[in-house]
Amino acid sequence: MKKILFAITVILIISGIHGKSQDVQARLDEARSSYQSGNLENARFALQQALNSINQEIAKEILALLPAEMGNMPMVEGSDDFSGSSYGYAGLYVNRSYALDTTASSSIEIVSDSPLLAGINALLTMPAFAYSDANQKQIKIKNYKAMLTKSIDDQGIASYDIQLPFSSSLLTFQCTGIQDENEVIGMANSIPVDKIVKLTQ
Amino acid sequence: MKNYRILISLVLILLFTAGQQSYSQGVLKKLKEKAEEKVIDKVLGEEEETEEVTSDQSSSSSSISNTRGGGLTTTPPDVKENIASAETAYKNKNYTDARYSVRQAILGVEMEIGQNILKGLPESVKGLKMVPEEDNVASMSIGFTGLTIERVYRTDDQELKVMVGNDAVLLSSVNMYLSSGAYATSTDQNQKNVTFKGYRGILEYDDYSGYKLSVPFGQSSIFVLQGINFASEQEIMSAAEVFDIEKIKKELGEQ
Repeated sequence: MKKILFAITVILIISGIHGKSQDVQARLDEARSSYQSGNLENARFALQQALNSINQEIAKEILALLPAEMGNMPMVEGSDDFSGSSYGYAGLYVNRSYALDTTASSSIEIVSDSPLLAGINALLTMPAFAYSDANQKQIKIKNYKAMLTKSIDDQGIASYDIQLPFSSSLLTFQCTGIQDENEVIGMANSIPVDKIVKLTQ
Repeated sequence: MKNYRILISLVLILLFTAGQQSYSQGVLKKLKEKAEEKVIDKVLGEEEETEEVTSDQSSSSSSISNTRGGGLTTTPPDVKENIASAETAYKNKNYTDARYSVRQAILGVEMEIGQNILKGLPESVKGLKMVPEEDNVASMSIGFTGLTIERVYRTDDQELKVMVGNDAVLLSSVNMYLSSGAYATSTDQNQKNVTFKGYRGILEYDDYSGYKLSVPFGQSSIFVLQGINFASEQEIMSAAEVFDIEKIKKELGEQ
């Protein structure tokens, strides 16, 4: 049943792309004619709109690549989110959430041109920093360096954040309610990072 | 007695290494905090004052210094060419390349807008001449830091720096200040609300950096003027009067 729902989601995402393709072409035409007539601001606006639509299409392709389940957590229906739909700037943004009852939850988020990117990269390129915090360590997810941060709440429930920078983007995997670190890293390894990197370059 | 001495030595060594470890952890923590602060400053576009010093040091450590080289040819991206490339890539469902080309086209358009604004700025202000080599147009073509245009005017002991930002991060903080009653009634003696050519703005003063006038205009733009060694707020406001904000607004296509 879950697989059928996942397949329907993917089909809906792909079918939405066709309508957008006309939109992008129209925006590019508008940009070209505005630029030729010297209306630079209008050309800029049309290009930004085209970029937003292209970002949405890339985001939809990424969503189609993400796993339907994370460990034993199924994806939360209707939780898929991507750039243009709720985010405040014209970058690439993708989010999918997973949950198992109320005991455990996780999410994958990809943000291009993220303001957090430089900070994570600094930590990854200077290992001495990473070892100064007992709750932070460097790991590898499919051969990509990433930063794992662990936190424990008042009730002793563990949360993990895995931040993986690539190109000019940041992939963040968050997981709450799973105590075993290796299990969380195993989940993160089910994310097709290579394919996502290729799409967002 | 010998055992006693050995025991004392061991205790001393342990104390010393423990002290070293906690010290090095403290140093690492401070280094990390500093690096994070730097990174945040960089992301928000604040100037790195020590950058020049660092690059000087690194070049002096090399045995050979660069004496030749034509530099880089910085031509803005060709807008029409990039729009055509974006179309082709998009038709082939190569969204990654389409995205790159559209971003390059945006960059090209923003560079032209910036250059047009620079052309419209005065060449001298109250006796201060522009420094052409410090003219700067910067764009990230993603809407996060937006488009920024800068020009510097300078004499021996006075400097005036004008910055125009469009879709800039800076704008939100200034607008927050202007729209917030709590801030506006602050007793801070170094900042006040002013009206500049019909627009509400903030005038700030700092002993180190001098005067700073920030004026948001249109839907998403800001005009910032920073003056070093200006005698009074009247003098900086009088220098600001030379700039035609309506002309800049028109170039940016602002309403």
